[in-house]
Amino acid sequence: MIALAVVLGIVLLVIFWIIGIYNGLVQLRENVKNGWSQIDVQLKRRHDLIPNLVETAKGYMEHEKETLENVIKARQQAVDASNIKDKQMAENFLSGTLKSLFAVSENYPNLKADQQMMKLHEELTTTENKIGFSRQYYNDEVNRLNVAVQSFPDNIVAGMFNFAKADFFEIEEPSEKEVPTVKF
Amino acid sequence: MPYSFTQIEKEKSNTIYIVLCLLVVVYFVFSLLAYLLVKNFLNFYVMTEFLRNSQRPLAFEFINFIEFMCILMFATIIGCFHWLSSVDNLVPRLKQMLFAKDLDPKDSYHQKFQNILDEVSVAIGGKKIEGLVIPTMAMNAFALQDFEGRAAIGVTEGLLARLSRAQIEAVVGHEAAHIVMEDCLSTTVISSIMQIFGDPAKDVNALTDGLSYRSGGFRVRGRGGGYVILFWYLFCFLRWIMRSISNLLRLFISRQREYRADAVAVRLTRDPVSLAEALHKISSRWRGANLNAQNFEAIFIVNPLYRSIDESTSIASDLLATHPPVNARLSVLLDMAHMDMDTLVQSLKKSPDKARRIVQDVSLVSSSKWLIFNQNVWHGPYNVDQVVSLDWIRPDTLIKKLGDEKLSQAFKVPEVRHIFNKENTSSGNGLSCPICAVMLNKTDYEGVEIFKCNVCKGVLLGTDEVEKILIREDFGFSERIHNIADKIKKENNEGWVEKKEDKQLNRENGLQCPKCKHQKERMRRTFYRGFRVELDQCKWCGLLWFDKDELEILQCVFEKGSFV
Repeated sequence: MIALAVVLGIVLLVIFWIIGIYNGLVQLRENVKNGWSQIDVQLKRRHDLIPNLVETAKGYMEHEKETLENVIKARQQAVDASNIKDKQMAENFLSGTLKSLFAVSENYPNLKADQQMMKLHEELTTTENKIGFSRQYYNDEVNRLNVAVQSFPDNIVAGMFNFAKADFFEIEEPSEKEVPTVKF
Repeated sequence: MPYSFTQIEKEKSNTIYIVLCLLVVVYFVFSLLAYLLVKNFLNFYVMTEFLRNSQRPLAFEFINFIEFMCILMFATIIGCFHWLSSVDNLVPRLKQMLFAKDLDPKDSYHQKFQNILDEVSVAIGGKKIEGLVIPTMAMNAFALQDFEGRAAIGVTEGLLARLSRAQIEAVVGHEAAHIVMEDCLSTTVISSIMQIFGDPAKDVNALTDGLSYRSGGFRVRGRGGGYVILFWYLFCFLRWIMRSISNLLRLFISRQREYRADAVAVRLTRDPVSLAEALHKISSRWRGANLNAQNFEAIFIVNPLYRSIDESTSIASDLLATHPPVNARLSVLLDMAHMDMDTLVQSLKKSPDKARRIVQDVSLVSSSKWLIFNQNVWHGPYNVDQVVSLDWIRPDTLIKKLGDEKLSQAFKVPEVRHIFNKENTSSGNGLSCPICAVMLNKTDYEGVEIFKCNVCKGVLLGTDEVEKILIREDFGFSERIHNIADKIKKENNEGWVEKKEDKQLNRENGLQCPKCKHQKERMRRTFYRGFRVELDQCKWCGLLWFDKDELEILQCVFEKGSFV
């Protein structure tokens, strides 16, 4: 009689423990999804700001047509990208073209002083920072999910209910990782 | 470290509920003592006065169970009432007490601060944070949080003007760390409770001081003397209790919070150097915060009241100080960055002192001239400012640069295009120059919106905007302005002001204010804040009119004299 009660008690305890871990894993997985959608929001904002930027720059930088066209092409690629890998590559490429645009605009002091341009520059800077922070948040949440899914004894529960590891948002292009050389 | 916002939500801190219990206990003890005092006094008085013949012994009576329960209930009710009135509507109330204001969307520095707040809120997972600004030249930052879920981070104008973007971001990250770790909530609540104890303590102080003066060394006669002495002792007791409560509450604010917040801030921004630079700048100059209340120190990043207890490391200071020593914080941060203190100080010294810079005089540089075609005639040549102030120019008006043969429509020329922006149309604001009668052009100077006349270069703005411009140091000044500023400072040292000759313009009657156009009172010449630069101010709406260069001169004089 007593043995039955004890066994029942243990079974109940195990069930509650599994429920607790399951809920924790669900929370982590949803955090990861939330983090990913945050990145999407910031990327879309950058896509929306770029046409305005190019229009403002066009008036001053008539001879830099190639740089401006590169930016527009890269933006279109980024908007069209569908799966995650393509998205990552396209966004990194877009960041590169924007960097060269701002580097070239250093030669045009009138452009730099233009009120509209200064506003856009501030907007783009803050959007780039937000993209960086949302990637950071996403990666940190992915880290916590991966650690939880692989640690013992949580991995037993994860295996039972098919919680998978998530991928980090990484730099795909090897050229991005190279330290830029400065030549005078 | 669990710094994620969603994780911390679950681990709510219990400190605040301990504070509530403490409050009830304190009220209970106080009521008990007061009750005992009154009861035994009455016994004594009644016995001696009216029952002289009675043989009843005079004993000190304690309380029975019913009285105990009554006092407990009374204390609980008062304690809960005090608690509820402290925590109700916390953020708006404290915002008022700190003299903090909302952000101005037309000010580019405030916009930058709002952007930084949005960035940090993305970094902590999306929690919305409001922004506040204290209009003072000092440098400090604070965070507020309340039970309704509102969170706010505030900075001073001086901090926005003097720190770089990365440094402001590090400071905001630190304050956001307090919000995420929820110790901001307990600190805010405790500060609010202390505020209620703090002010009555001041009043009680005043009362007891007054009493002791009046009774002149307690030489009093007869029965009356006894009462005065008794009340005096009662008030002193009250004062002692209130002070002790305030100090006791300070125990709940640990200085370790600041170390943790620094660490979480670095984890959020990945930039320990900027936070170290910001802390060094804040703590070495002007760390005040325009406050006279002692009870809000804990919410600030660096203690606005310089207290020596903060800089020591004994057990007593560990209990009672609200902030750790600044050097200890800096050494922790510099360790993370593998840097030492000397390198930090050197790098801060290297940043150029903008006000001392001498730049080229823009007004002397010839800018390009333009010709404008209207009604079959070419008008001009005008420079850009004059083109912008022409009323009759339309987007399709033909315009060409002097010396160039290329014709373009006005809206295609980038230097002029901005005037067709709806916000920038001069006719929109209805303000005209008091000297030249052309429309004033709304433009941006050091992040602040000002109204400028393109013909005589005069400027119209309010005193709030002037304060902001004085604090901010975006531009250097030309040599001509520096010379005038030096002359003014020299004259200042030499003695009283003699009336300056009025300029060629007829100013004897004063200028008419562009905004209120008050018929009776014209704008009168005045000195601004004691600086010897004569300006015109409208007595009715407070707007100031600066003639050409006067704003730059005022800035230069101010910045030469400041200790920055």
